[in-house]
Amino acid sequence: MANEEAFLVSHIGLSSIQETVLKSMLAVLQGKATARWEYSEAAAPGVLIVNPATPQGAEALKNRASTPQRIIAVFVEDESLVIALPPEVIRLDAPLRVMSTLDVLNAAAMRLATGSGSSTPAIINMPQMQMPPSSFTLALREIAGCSKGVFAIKSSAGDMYFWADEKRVFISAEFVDYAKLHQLTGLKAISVTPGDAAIEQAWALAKPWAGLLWQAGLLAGQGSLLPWLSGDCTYKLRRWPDASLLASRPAFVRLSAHFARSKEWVTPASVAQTTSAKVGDVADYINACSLCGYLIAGERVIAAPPPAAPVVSEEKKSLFGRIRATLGL
Amino acid sequence: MAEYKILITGPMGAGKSTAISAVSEIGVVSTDVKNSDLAQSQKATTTVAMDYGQISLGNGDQLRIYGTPGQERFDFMWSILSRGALGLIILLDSTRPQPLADLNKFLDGFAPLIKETGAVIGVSNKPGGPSIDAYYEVLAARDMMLPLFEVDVRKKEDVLLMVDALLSVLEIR
Amino acid sequence: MDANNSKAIAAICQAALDKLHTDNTGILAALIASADGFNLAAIQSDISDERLAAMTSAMHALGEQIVKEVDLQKCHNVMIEAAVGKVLMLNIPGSKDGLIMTAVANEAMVFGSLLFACRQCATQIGEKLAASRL
Repeated sequence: MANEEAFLVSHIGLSSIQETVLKSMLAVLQGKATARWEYSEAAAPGVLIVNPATPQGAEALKNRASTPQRIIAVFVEDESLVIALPPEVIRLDAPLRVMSTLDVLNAAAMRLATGSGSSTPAIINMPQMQMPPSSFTLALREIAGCSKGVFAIKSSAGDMYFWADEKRVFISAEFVDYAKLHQLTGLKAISVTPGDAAIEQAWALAKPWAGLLWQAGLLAGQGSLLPWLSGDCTYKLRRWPDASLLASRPAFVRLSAHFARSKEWVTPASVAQTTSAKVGDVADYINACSLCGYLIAGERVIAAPPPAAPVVSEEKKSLFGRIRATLGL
Repeated sequence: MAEYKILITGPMGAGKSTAISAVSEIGVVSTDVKNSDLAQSQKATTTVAMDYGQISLGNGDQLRIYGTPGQERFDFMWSILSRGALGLIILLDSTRPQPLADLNKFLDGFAPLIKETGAVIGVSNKPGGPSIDAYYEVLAARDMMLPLFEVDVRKKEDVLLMVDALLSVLEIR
Repeated sequence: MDANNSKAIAAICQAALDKLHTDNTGILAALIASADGFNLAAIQSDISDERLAAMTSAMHALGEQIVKEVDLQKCHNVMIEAAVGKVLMLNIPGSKDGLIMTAVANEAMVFGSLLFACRQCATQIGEKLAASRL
């Protein structure tokens, strides 16, 4: 994977001896690393090694967001600094050694080659449900997966009838307490023969089932992914959720934009990383999309860097932020 | 002092002027004249050049919202108004005879703008008409995925949701 | 405009335009457009009447907005001076449906002549429409 063009490496805060060691190590590693590396003081480096124990090094580490395409490697002489390390920087322990330097350069080269730069942080672990899903979730999933037939879920909290052809539902209770329904055990999807007078009456009052599936889905995992979903699997939306479902959750509009890109597949973990949404919210959103049938599943992404996060220009961020603020979004 | 622009289009009667007035801080400036083609639409008036609304963003910057005329004979206005737009909102009227054909027409008519920026589609939530899935099938046939919602443009929150979806899509292009 | 009326209106407009064309060799094209951009009558030319009629209504509507903005009461006409000719769009006076006339002239025809000829034509149309209660 050797590039013809060399990547540049520089430092802030290494002592003159450490700088000499670094330069000779780069010479030694020529031909052994996956890419060519050159030490450069003048040009903008692909990798900047910073020593945060020095004021300039600490400053460079703090301001790393202003140069997102540059990878920061933190030179760790003091173990107590390790707790405070942000996830997207690479760690380089003192004293400088050939093998650890080689590892850092190869990891950096992979990021630089894919253009993801330091905006590819370590993979987030999406929480997965430890308990089995509620009987309500499983019953809804079964019904939502059917394309025809009439079904019922009966419980102490009210009866529900579902028409799979038309995707409509009738609920006998005046107020639906989804949290309570998730707590009830033994709920089942029962197949029902249409033609019953009570069912005909119910049909007249039925409404689209997306609202119910969505609300139930949001509460199904309590911030963790349902068992048939994975944080490392790629997903795409086959359509956006209804406006009424997104209305009260602006964060879900952003998530929908990420999952509804026609050419790109993303994982819930990478989206949680890229957006400012809480991990639990991303899990709830994906759960709801799954139950509503909006999700198309792709492949499991194992031990590979997450898809590169789209870098939003500062100008766009500022403009869209102001538009949103003015409109109260 | 910078100026930014969003475009709203769609067939006659889809609610473009209504949508603009839902968010504009000035009264909508319109170029409406008497409609002589009652076979097309029962509406008394029709837009022949543009509708215009605006939102101040602070710092002297303006977000301008332009509504285009809906009929194809005014498509020269479509290209004039498209210039420099951040993105497009297409409003459709599900009670028209062929709403899916309308969608195709506007996707064709604004193809360069949509390709360069992005679009959101709002379908009037009146009963009857094709299902939302049918509209998405039109998009899928063109290998496109765009936010598409049932909306009531008289409601400010529905219009704002479309603007938010448009911004979200534009942000991660 | 119902179907019968529109035929009668079109006939009056066409006759007036034909005379305008005969009397003024500098006029390359002319048409009468409805306020919402439909073509009602036109002189034979290479120019697309449908598009020009739509553009006429848009241009006139913008003219009205500008006039309103600067408080000059009513837009009478819009004049476009181009590299090798000129375009004049003017109201048909007294037209109930807000009809607009567009004339395209070559370089040789001065604006004054164009304005005079078109005003005459438009006035005649207006009078004939009023007489027929159209």
